[in-house]
Amino acid sequence: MTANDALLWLGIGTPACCAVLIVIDRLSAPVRGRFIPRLVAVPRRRHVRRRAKPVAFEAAVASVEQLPHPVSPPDRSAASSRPVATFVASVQPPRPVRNPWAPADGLRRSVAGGAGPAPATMRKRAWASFALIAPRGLYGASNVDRLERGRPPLRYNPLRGAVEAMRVDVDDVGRARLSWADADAAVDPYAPSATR
Amino acid sequence: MNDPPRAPCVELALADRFRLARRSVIALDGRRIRSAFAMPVPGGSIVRIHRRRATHARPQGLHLSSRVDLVVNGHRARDLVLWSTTAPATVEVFVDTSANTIVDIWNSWLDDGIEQAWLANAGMLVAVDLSKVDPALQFSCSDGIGAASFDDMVLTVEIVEPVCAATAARAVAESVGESLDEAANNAISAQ
Repeated sequence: MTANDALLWLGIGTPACCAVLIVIDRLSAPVRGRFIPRLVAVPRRRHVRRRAKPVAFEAAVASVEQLPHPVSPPDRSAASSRPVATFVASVQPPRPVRNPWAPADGLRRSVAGGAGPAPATMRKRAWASFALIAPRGLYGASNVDRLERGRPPLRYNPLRGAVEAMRVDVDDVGRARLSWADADAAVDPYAPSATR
Repeated sequence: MNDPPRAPCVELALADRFRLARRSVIALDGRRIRSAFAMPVPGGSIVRIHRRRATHARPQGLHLSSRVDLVVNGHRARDLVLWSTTAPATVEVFVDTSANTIVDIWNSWLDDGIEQAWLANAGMLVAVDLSKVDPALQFSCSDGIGAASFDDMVLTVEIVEPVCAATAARAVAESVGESLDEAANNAISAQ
């Protein structure tokens, strides 16, 4: 019996054995995330494991640097003095720039997280957008201030003896339709599209 | 000694005055300005509306609201709006009820496709014209655009006393689309 036959007889080298070894390895070192540099000073360990053959890496770098450069080589001294944290941040993918919704943008534009806006959010956006074109002389300064805050304008209804708010309906394509409550119920008997 | 700085005198719009007074009529410069007018109408009357003037700057509307059916041009509704751009100069509204009722009237206008009313300097001056056989009311309306000017729309509302059953039946027949003969027969049989 050779040594390989003995290992196979013991089960070492089979896929099942490899899987068991991988699990044991993971359990022994469960945290293997990406490297995060410590930004606070930590005491150095007494026993530091030396890297294997650092000279060979330096020699390879030196040989690469001797090659002709099509462009001027970067300033190594400046790169070496750069903090590690800054270097790590530079190689990370850029974070998406937050571009919040602004008046006159689409009412159905997605909110943070990619989800569609809620109906209340779309109504608030409609009022804020309407504030850009609402005539201040007609609606009044207080109503325009309300519009800028995403609130509907108000008016005094003498029939009800109460203050009522304007309404907005946002359709599926993001168009806003503004109206007062009484105007919706009114019938124009002479409208071309009116049906008897 | 210098006087303390005074707050700038801001001229209140008519809508603000109505809101502060919480009424549909206010007195300003010796005039009674109304945001809406509750017009008593005998049952079965015809309200004849004659538009004398309307500005061309924007469509002017006359809004009528009642708890009973109003019949105009074959349409039956409790909320009507007559626009200066579509309605003829003279419109007759049949008040389809046998009891006395109230028809609320106020002016409106179209602003960017939105029917507006009771905003800014919107208001009406109402005067009674007793020179005719039937009582007539003259409405001088100001829309909310710009300063208050009560010549944006001027119209006369005339209340024709309870009409005969045949005329009432004719107006009802126009609303439901049946023939006039059938309506007349129904009116005679009802009497």
